[in-house]
Amino acid sequence: MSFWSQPSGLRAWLLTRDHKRIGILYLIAVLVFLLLGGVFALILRLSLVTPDNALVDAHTYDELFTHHGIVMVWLFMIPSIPSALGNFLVPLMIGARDVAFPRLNLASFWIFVAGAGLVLAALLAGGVDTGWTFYTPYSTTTPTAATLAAAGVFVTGVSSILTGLNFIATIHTMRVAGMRWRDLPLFVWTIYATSIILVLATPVLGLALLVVAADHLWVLGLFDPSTGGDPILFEHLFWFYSHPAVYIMILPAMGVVSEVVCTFSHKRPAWYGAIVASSLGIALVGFLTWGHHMFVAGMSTFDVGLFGSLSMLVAIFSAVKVFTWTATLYGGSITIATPLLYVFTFMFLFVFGGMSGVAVATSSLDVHWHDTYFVVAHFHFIMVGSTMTGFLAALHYWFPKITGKMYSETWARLGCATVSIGFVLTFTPQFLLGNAGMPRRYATYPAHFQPLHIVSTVGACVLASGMLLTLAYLVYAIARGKPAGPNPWRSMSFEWRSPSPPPHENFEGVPQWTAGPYDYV
Amino acid sequence: MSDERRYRLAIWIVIASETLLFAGLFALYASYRAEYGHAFSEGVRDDLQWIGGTNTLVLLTSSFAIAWAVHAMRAGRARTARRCLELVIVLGLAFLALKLVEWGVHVHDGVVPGVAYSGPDHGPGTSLFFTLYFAMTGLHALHVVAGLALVTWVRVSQRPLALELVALYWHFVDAIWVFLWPMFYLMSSS
Repeated sequence: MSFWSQPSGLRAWLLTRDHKRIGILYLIAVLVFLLLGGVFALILRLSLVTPDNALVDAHTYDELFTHHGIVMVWLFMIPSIPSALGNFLVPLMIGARDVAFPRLNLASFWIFVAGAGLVLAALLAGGVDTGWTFYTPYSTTTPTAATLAAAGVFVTGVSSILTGLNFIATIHTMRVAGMRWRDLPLFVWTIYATSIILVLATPVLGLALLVVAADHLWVLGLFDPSTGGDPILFEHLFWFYSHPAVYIMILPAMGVVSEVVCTFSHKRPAWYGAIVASSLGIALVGFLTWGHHMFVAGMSTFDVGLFGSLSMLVAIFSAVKVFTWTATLYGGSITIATPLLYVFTFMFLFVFGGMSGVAVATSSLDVHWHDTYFVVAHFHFIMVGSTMTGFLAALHYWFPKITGKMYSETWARLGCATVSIGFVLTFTPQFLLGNAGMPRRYATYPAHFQPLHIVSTVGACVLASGMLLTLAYLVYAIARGKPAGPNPWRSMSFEWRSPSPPPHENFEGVPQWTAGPYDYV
Repeated sequence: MSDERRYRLAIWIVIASETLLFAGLFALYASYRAEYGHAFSEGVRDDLQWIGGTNTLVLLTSSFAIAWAVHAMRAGRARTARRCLELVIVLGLAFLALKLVEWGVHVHDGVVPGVAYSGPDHGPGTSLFFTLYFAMTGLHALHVVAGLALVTWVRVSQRPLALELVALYWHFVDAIWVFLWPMFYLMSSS
């Protein structure tokens, strides 16, 4: 009997304290929001096919990119890997029966649902047109439902903090006897680093959004120049969270890549300590780079130089990761399979997006690229592309673990190719558009930008069809897939030592720590 | 054993997270004080010093009482612990009552948050000072309410571990006030 059927009944699912079921509930929720955010993106792209925007008016366009951003950032990417897959996997990977606080875990899921409900209510109550960044003073004066949306995001933030707290306590206190910190799987390390950011950065965003909501409601003018307030202070508070938030999204994806690389090259990581140190380093330095979003907002040259240099430090940690991954692959006995193919796409998007990140962290260049499609392309490559391919790699890698079934490798490779090509096709033209001067968040544009916009829209359609294809064959595999066996990838990691799908109690009997997660011979 | 450890870890994480919540407002206060030093130091004079001072005394005494409760519980004197917790509840309520009196006086004088401010004008930044005053003391008061709920809960359940953790949280709420006191009642010369 697996956790899927035992205990049975809808009530047992909705009020479950089983981390695996909570992970599944999160997974369903984030997939719904991915679909919703994707639909917003598709409408945006389709409306940009013609320079004069025949599809939607300017106000609707503003709302669409705001909704796309809010839904994708807070309802998909932030919870995607940590809350959905992290919840499912972390206890299994450290040989625990459950997370440290199972009831709190369930509460944090329903708080997330409540927050998401508020956000959706805001979208239905006329929508929001501030951009996902809620910049003041516009966000405090807009007639749209900014208060409701900010409140919704605040509530999802509470859920994030509780999830982070739970992971930290779990990793500290629930490891199977004999598992030392240096035996911790690399994915668990990245969840740990992510949790630290969740716990320490989210409250600052929560506060900033509370102030915006209150300001919108009661006209406080705390960031309004007419009362002596300074809008740039809001930007500081906002980015103090929202820059580290990028690492909330990408660190778990990096953890996935580390696991997949080791499993599919059947080899120890080339330099375990360096991978762990770079995860923690990114989490730490990530707190000190927020100013690079504001180079042109009014900042002293000294601060610009400081934030630019600190931002480049992140590239060094990231490079350490890429080099250790390639060194792990080197000389390994590599099995080519869909998760690894997604990892290759990840590495391409990550290196390309990362390099463009160093470019935009260079203040003189940023003045040219700021608020253009170049920046849009950059952060979609690094934040969206890497998180999404990491998420898809994880989904394909742990699919047999979660469901006990195997999907069709042929269809999966086709899906991976479609998604990868679609993604690159969507965002590469946007680098060129931005560099040529196309500003972001505009509903219309000069006619000479049209060819590149059309290529980008075609790419978005390819990407969407790849995602739908993936959904289709995975759902089919749940229903009709062949049994996968307990450990189809022959991984050494602890989560594969229990049956697939795992029983309600995670392990049959008391799990024994016999070998490390990467002890391949 | 790991049970106790995970709860201790959790309360410290909560406190760290809450610290960052307040840090945002502290940062705003610091920035605006640097810009509007005059309005801020004049604004401090408009707050009721005797209420601020008394409330500091009240909260510090309550912290002492809850520390005594933890000590008594460890020594097996449950009755003393209960009395101490009752004292904490009384002092917490007294703090809130005094705070309400002060807010009432402010509102009566037209000292309200935001653009509706119609109190004494100390030049640019005056309304920012009072918006921050209401935001920070208000957020702190919410934490006192939450803390009181927790103290009431441990008074009823009398679980030693829960008492220790709630005491930590109460000290934290107290420590925040120790910073708010000078910021809004003492630092009147720029």
